[in-house]
Amino acid sequence: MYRIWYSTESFADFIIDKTSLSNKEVVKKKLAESDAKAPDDFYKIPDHIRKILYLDCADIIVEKDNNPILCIEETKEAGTGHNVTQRFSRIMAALENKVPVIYIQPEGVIVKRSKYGWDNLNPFLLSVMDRASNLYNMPALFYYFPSDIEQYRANPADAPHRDKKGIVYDEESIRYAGCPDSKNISTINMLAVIDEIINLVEKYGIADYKSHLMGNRKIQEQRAFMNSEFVLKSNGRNPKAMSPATKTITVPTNYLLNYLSQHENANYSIGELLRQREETVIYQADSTFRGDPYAGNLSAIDCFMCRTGTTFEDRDCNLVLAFGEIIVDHDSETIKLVSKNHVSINDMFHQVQNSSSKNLLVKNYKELRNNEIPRYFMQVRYGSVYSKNKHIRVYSHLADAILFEDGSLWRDA
Amino acid sequence: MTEEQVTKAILSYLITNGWHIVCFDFPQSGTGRVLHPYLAVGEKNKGSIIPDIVAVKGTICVFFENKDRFYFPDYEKVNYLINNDDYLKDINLLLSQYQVSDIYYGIGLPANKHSVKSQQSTHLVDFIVGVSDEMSITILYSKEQIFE
Repeated sequence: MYRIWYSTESFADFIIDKTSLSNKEVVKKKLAESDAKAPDDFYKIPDHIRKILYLDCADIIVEKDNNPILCIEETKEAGTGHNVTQRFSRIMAALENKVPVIYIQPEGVIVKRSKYGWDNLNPFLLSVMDRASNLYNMPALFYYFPSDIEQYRANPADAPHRDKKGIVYDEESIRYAGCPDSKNISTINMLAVIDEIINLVEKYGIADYKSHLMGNRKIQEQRAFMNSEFVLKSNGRNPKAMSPATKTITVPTNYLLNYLSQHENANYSIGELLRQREETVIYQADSTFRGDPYAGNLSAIDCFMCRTGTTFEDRDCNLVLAFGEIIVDHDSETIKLVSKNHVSINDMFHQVQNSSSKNLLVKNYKELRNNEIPRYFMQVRYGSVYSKNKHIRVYSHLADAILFEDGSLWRDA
Repeated sequence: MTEEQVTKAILSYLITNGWHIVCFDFPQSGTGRVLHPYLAVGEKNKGSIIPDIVAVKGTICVFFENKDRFYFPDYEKVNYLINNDDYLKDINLLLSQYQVSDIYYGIGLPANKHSVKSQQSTHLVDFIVGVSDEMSITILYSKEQIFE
């Protein structure tokens, strides 16, 4: 039996009705995002689905006989600048759990400033998704959410769907509200690949279908399309010259160690993990302490610049998140951090402390309501993994160190 | 019943009864239209709202705030829209293709959530529309004969 876990029912109906899932035994189930966001429901999510949600929540998870076989993520937001990889944590989490991913976003979205114009997709996304596919040996496929851009690139003011930002939705607008136009070639190709994945599952079974994904012709064709689109849209620019990679700085790790040495004393010295890698990539988030788009961007930078394997331990350089601008002091072989927003480490600590309000672990058995008992038991197993908000989860899971102007966190092993 | 189901049931009812849907939104649909209030310089996006349904029939326009439950702040929000014209510039732009003379603001929710508190809050809104478990629509309250 197939089970479709969804964030919006429209999109679940769309995927079921427009693919071979319509001929299968299918049930739908609403996803609960996290223990932080949906404490009354999250503990009811099966463990194999929960694992995919450990960083962020996908839009659709297709499951066959209690095995997730595909994740789908869609957005109609403009993927400009550093917003383009805002949702990348969801992609990473699926791939880490050996689940193929489909991601849908418009090539352009109409905005009106002094006049109508297109906000174009930053091609960095295409590059980092290709890198993710290679890294995990698992498809991470990108498709354009249909829009008027191809026909009205030069004249967005004349676009027929201008009042919907140039986005083209499916004609059956209520049942499939917010879903991509099913007559568009990009959507047709995406639905065909979903059918292909389901065929492979049916043909080879849950245990073996994954080994047939990367060699599948339709999947290879889409990867080739993504690569050609990257070449076309990047105009010869290296993805390292695109946002959010432009907000990184790579320094010798001993500069970082010298910076952190302020925390060392006679009884403590920084551990081995950071020292093992010669170079350190620092992502500079010059904003207040928040999640979007920085959590997703940190995942994308990890995949693009640090990872050599499938877990966060498999890196050839450290991944560090800094809230502020890093100034390199080559003379002293160290770094300085300047935060114009004066982001404090206490901002993070306060948010972590607030997460503890969702924590049942301090309660006695008699204090628990019946429906809190399975949630308590989940928290005993996983601690506060799912009870913290999204960006705290992502930052603490991925970063080897987090730097603030008034304090730092780092990993020793 | 989810907010998405409430909104879709009301949309179906409105279309069946000759209303034209100007725009709609439900959580994570990404389909809504953002309305900005009049703001001082530097207050970008402050207080923006996204109506859950805007529909027009003849010269009448209805704005819906929908939820999967009774949610008093929505009644207050609707009441604010009724009594203030902060958003009028964007609303006029949104409705510029229509000949609207009257705008009504109200609530959509599951019919069984029209609790005593909801009934006691009717004075704050122009209408309350309920959705049954079978997805049928009941006009639970209407200040005027908006949906006749």
